[in-house]
Amino acid sequence: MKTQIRSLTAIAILFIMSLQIAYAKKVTTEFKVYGQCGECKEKIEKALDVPGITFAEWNVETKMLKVQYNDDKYTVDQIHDIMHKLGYATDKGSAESSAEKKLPKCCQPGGH
Amino acid sequence: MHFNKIHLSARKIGGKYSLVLKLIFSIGLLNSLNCAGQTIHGIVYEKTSEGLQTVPGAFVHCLNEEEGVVTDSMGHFEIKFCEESHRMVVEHISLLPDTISVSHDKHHYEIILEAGSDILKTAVAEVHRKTYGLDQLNAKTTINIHEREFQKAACCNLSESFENAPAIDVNYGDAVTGTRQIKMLGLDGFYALISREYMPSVRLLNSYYGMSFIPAAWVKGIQITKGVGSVVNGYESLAGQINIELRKPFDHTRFLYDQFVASSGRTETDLMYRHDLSKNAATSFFVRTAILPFRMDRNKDGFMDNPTGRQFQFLNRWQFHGKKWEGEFSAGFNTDHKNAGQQDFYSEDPKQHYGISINNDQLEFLAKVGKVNPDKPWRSFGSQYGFNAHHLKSIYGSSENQTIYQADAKSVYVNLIWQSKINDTRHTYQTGFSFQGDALTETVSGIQRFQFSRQELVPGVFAEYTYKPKEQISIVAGLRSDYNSIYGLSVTPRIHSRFNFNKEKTTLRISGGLGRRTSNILSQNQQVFATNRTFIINSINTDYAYGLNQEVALNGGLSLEHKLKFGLWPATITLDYFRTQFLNEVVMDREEDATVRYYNMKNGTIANSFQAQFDFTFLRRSDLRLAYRMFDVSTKYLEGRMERAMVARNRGFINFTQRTRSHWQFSSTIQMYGRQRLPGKDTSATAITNRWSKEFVMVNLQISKEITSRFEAYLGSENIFNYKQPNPIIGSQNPLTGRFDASVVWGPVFGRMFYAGFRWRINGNNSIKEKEQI
Repeated sequence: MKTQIRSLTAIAILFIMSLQIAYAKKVTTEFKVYGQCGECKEKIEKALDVPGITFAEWNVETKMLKVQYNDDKYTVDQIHDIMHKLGYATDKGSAESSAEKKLPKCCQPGGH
Repeated sequence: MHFNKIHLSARKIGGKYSLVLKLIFSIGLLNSLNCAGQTIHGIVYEKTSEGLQTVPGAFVHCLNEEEGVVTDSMGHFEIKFCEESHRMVVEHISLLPDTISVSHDKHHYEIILEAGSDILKTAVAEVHRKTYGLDQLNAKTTINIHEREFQKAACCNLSESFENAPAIDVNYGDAVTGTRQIKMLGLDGFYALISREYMPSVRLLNSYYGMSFIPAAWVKGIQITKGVGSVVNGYESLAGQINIELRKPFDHTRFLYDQFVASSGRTETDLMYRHDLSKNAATSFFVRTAILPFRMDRNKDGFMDNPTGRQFQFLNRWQFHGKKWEGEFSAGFNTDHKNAGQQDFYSEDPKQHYGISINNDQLEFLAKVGKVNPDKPWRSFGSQYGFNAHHLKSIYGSSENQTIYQADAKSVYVNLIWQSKINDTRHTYQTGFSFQGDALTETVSGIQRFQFSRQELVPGVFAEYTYKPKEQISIVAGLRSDYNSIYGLSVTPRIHSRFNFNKEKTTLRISGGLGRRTSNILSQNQQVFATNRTFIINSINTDYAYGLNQEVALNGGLSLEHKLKFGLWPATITLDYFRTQFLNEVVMDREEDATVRYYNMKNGTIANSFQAQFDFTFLRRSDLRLAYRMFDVSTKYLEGRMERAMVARNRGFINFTQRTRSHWQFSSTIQMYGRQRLPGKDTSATAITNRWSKEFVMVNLQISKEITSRFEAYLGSENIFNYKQPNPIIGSQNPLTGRFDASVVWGPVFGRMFYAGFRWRINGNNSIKEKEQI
């Protein structure tokens, strides 16, 4: 019985450690994305719904994007770049103007 | 848009403040090079049907700053540049607050606010993909269910739509007609007020089959309120209110075609088409046909598992936006014919076998007219008008030995609602006048003979006051007084309150009040006709409906909702407790095998309902919902207090939904039902098994795939492990002579069912949307 408990404990510890290893690669960061409306929220979160990015939530009111990603697949600059290419300015740069024009009216700067 | 405000006035202050703001354009004008001390100015508008109206009294301030300015009579404002936040907030009590980014090179902003509306509210809900949840700003415990949610069930009509909503219990009402009945807080569905766009709907002759006459494809959203509802909607909501919003002509959907086929052969088709008449008027047409083609008897008891039959339903809706007036009109009819009973009734000798035929024909007109004052958006007038005519004829038994239940009902409803504020918008009220007139004739002939008819006219007045000192608190106190032509004067007080605290993560709601209703003992319990029981009514006053007094109950409850996060993933825990105590009740007593008795009982039923629910979204596309419910319901019968028959004390619920990036959705629901006390006093050796139902588990699965944004196909199985109630019909071998009872149903009758279907939707800009593009 004791050995069973011990081996179970060992398995549990190994399991938790492996989880931590799996999560160790994940980085969570926050930055501003200058979107305008609820439709932008859907667009932003959808664009970041790709393998390698495990979480993305954008707050319409604070403009804050919270994103979690695997750092061996993405860098934070690449995520900024996804936003620029989608047509949104971030703290690190402005939007690609061709993409910005393609956004729905409500998502363009000044729109709502 | 305005008219929605009036709907809201009829529905609840709470929803009204969850409004959506639209800033359509902002124009940079002057350029001041001096950034320090720079100001921003602009005009706040509200979009109305006649164009843009300036909004005086809107509060404009920088984000995270309390000080700000109020727009003048022309809607003008001027504030200091928001140096810290670079964001400006515009708020108005009847319009949605929002935050606008400001920059140094823009000084003039033209801001267009929109009144909140169902359309926009739903649009927001879609964006957040939250398809089920408590209405955050409502003082009542109101659960919003978006259409995405009830699409997870194998549903084609509303009685089947609540499979994924733990607030509502769904069970078969009888073993012959396939009709599902709902329960709320451990009480029968007819104790809840079922309203269509806040007008009383499924009642009188509709109380048994009515929910199955609301096609799920026509429904845009459902609001379920636990506990007493608003006094504005009448005195009937005892256990809760279920409000159903159908698609409106101004909604987004232009065309809809839903097709459903089940393994039983049941085929249902729903069509909708919207036609825009102008920028201010639109009409939509809805058609539904349903066919139950095959006679099947899988459990070999001689009785068909499903009825056969056909249904046809039509609805035409109109919506207008005038300068100040807005209106909605709808006209519809429904015809439903079902045949059930022994197969041999149809194929062999109908004189020797038991057959059932049920025919419902209904006609309905509804109208809403509202007026708002563009200068005073807090002030509005709304009116609701309804007319319903219903003919019901059903026959039970052999062709020679039968019971015929025939009923006609006509119903008229008028509700006039004025809404305004006292001094400022922290104090608002709704007050008005209502009239409900019901004329009902019911005849039972054949083996048993009796007739009832009544004319019940109920004029009433009501007032509801809302105190909302700040966003986090609202208290709604309502009082109504009605004069019932049968039962005389009554007073119905109700109170609801909401407290939001702990950085808006926790919400406590407390509600309480009285509810009353006239019991429609025959139409609400039509399962009893599928028995050989003799009706006994202990009449107390021949002037009363069926000789019985009105039912009056006190309902109180509280609910606590807490939002939390596991890492990044959001979860919600909801706990609620409600208690319903009947002061006077009409008890249906089936404790004797040969009879069904109806009698008034003082302090009859006491129903305690507790629910714990956990909702968790993780890994982006995984949703888990766990719920546990406990009902402690006892009824005082003539023999004394007993656990209420046909209520499962314990119920468990698990739903797991997984979506994929490629638009697949997998949904599974596990429902656990505890044992239920069955009516009757069996004293034989097998008493325990005869007096209690078995515990059982039912599992439903569904896979759906959005093939394009317009077209979605689904495939599913209900009751995949094929659990069936053994012998759902008591005395099925000898229905014409011996003890026969098809009304004691506690579990699934049909077993496993497979189904498939598709939903084809074409959305398009309607008149409102076009106007938004100005």
